[in-house]
Amino acid sequence: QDSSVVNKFQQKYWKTKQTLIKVTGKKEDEHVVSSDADLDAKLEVFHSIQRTCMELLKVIEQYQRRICFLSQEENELGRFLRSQGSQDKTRAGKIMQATGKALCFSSQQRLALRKPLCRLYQEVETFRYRAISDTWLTVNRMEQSRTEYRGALLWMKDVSQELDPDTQKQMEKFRKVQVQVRTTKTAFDKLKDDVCQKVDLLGASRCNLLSHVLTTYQQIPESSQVFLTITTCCIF
Amino acid sequence: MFTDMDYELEEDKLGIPTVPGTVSLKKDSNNLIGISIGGGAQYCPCLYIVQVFDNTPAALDGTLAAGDEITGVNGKPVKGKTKVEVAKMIQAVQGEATIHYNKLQADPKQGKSLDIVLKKVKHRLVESMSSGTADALGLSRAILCNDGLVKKLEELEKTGELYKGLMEHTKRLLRAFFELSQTHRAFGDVFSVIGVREPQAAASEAFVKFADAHRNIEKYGIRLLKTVKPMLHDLNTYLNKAIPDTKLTIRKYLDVKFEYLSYCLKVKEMDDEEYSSIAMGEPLYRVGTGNYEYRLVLRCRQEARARFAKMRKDVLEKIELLDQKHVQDIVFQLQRFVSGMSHYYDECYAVLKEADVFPIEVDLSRTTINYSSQSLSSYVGDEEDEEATEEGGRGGGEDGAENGAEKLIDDE
Repeated sequence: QDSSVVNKFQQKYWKTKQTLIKVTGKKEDEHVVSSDADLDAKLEVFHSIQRTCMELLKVIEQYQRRICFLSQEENELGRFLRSQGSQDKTRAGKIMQATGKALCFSSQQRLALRKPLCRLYQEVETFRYRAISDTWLTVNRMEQSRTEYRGALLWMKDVSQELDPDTQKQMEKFRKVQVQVRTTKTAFDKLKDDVCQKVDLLGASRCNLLSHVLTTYQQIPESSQVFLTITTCCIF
Repeated sequence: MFTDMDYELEEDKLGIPTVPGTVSLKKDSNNLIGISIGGGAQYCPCLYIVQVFDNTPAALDGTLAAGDEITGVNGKPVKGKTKVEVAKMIQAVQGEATIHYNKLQADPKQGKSLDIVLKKVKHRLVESMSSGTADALGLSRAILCNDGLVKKLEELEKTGELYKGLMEHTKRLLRAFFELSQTHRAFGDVFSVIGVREPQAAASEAFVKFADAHRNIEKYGIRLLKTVKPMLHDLNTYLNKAIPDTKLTIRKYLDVKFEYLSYCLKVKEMDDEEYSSIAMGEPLYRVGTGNYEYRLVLRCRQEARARFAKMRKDVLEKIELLDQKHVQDIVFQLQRFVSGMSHYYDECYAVLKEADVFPIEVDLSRTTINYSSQSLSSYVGDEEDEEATEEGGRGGGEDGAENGAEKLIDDE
């Protein structure tokens, strides 16, 4: 391995060039891009997981808040109806009290949904902090290495264009670059493998997590029964 | 001596015309025709009707009214007789009493003097203050001030409060409910995205189902809101139309009531004036001239009383109706609300039960193996490519640089 300053400098140069290409969004060689198609698909999955987890956190928080809010309003209306109903001796008073009671009960039932939601929030939050950020680091390392690899390819393309096979010096330079390509490719492939594996695991573990927590979410008894009894109680 | 003096004075009719007439009234079982009389000897040249009592022959007949002068009973003139003598004359008649009268053609506007208007204002003020304050100020409350209607008004006020509270609470509840529904949708949407992007078929299906359930819950919620929303409108109609309308009627009623009370007070004042002047031995001019002013007020009082009674009946009916409507309304609205809610919960329950997709079996091995072989093969392929590059037999899969290398190696 040639580790001279010149070589290092050249490596840096091509890497920077590749970074520039990437940042400016210039069209890259389509063969190179297509060879990474499955990796890019996995990355897409990863980004989707990242995004949806963020959204999920936001929605859960809102969901919780609104459940609380509705519960509070239900309770207030229930209490209001009960107090007004107790002063009214007519049939209206009776039905007001019954409805008030149902609303108060329903407001309490509603809060039960908060527990699994809280749990879901915490789990997703932990998942985001641990698993996603860990995968994200790997993805970053992979991207670095990809840039290096593609930079090397650019370099090789450049060298081969002005290559004269008769010139020993140029031939030597070509071989040097070839070595560079191969080393960066090995590193890149390993990281690529890592990323794919991690993204798969990430997806699966999120599935597990959601499945687990949502099972309790769905087991929360509905207040429907309460309303049903009251509906039948009130003489229709 | 007094009698001489009395007849020295001419009657002063204050420009009120009188029309003579006769009426026959059949006495009731209590030997009464149902009038009370005033005036007569020895201070007043006229003998007049003070009051016609409700549900008596005189009232049912309707010819006689307060303020009318009685000129004779069964053909015998009553001129110069005292009211006690005339009362005895009427009592002595068996069966049917014929009353000769001079009808007072009074214009009620004439009786509604400034004095009456001021008295009305006073009544209004006294009514609006608490009894303690009124007593402290030395303002006596008329007996009629505290009637059942005032209590009814309070009840109405309370019902108004109930509706207002109910409306506000319901509004807030529906808003909160709407927001929760929106969140159900958002929750569903997130899971839908998760489901669509999920590589595992089973999990993907489960998430999509779960998402759909939440989207459906939102739909049910919106439907519920649509059913319950008219409740707000109905409550509002009751609160802002029916109650103010009734209040207006009550206010009109109070106006009529105060007018009546003012006339009562005026009569009382004039009575007092008359008695005190007699006690002082200085008979009043108005009494000596036929007491027309007094009789005018009596007539006005009677008319005011009739208006008051009619109004009172109207108001009571209206409040009764409103009360009934209130009970019906509340029952109907709450039933609609409860049945809507109940329906909503049933639907939610059903849809969540159907979407009971968890726990999901996560089949990690399949994707992983899939991926491993894929990546492994591509990895191996790359290695081969590298090899090929070395050998110069590269398949041209990568790019121009590789092509350049290929060329070179061929040359080599």
